Amino acid sequence: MADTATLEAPPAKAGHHQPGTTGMSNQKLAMWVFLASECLLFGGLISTYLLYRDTTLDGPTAGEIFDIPFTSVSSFVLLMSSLTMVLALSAITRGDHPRGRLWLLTTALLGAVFIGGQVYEFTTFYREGLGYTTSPFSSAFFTLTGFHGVHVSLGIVMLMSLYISSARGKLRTEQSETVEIVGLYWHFVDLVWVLIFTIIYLTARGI
Amino acid sequence: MSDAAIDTDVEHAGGHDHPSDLDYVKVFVALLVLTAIEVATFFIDMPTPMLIGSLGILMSVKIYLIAGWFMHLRVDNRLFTRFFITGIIGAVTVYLIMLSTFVLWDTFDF
Repeated sequence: MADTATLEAPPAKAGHHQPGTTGMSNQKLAMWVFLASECLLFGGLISTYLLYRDTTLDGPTAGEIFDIPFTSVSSFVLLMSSLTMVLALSAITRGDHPRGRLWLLTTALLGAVFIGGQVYEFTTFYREGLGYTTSPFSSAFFTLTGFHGVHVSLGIVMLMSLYISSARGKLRTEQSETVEIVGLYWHFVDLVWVLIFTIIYLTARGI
Repeated sequence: MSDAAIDTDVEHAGGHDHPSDLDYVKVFVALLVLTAIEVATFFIDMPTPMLIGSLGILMSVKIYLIAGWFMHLRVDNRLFTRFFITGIIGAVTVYLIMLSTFVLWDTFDF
């Protein structure tokens, strides 16, 4: 029973994430469980791509079509957005909300630049003869990178929601964990891109 | 679970100090340098096993830096790390099962 007493949650404050019976924030725990499940999703998509990347039929191969310098710039943009995300969290935790909003907006803009680059890349590939149904390789590639793009887009929506909440004064310093949880999602999306960039793009030379 | 263990977890959950802004910038610069080296390997002619090995090491270091520093797993509750590693192990397992299904079984024509 001593354990039960120790595990009792402290009284709740309005709008603040309280630790649950595990002694940690339930919202943060839920986000980590969600991210663990996302590992399985992207693991399956990356596996599918690796299995089909040589099955190009009459369409272009990865080695012929990938533009590594362009994708490297996209990777730089997404890495930069991870930095601005942690700087946003740091500023809001300190109570510096104007600076926090600036970093949140910068993160969302960098995410939008990444998505713009992906749309440009997809359009270029399509013009060069790589459609979604051209080959098993193209289907696996567009599904994997498209899913990642959808995740980035959802992240931008979350970031803009935080920005609007902060601008309206509804995101207080003691609620900084909300920013941290959105940040976890954003960094995870960046982490998945690190995998995609290395496994899908940089190993395409010999294909 | 003992009281001491629970107290330690609670401390990890809420009482940790996040890195400073300068630390974050240093981690970002390290990530940038690692990415530049990764991109350079694409243009350098080297044997495939060496290319895969070096890219694997660089990618792992980048993942450690992002998860450890930006996602605060270094200082946060260890349970979060366990969840994340379980997810990664699950993902690798999915890949191995698919590989064995599509490649090995097909090769041996069961």
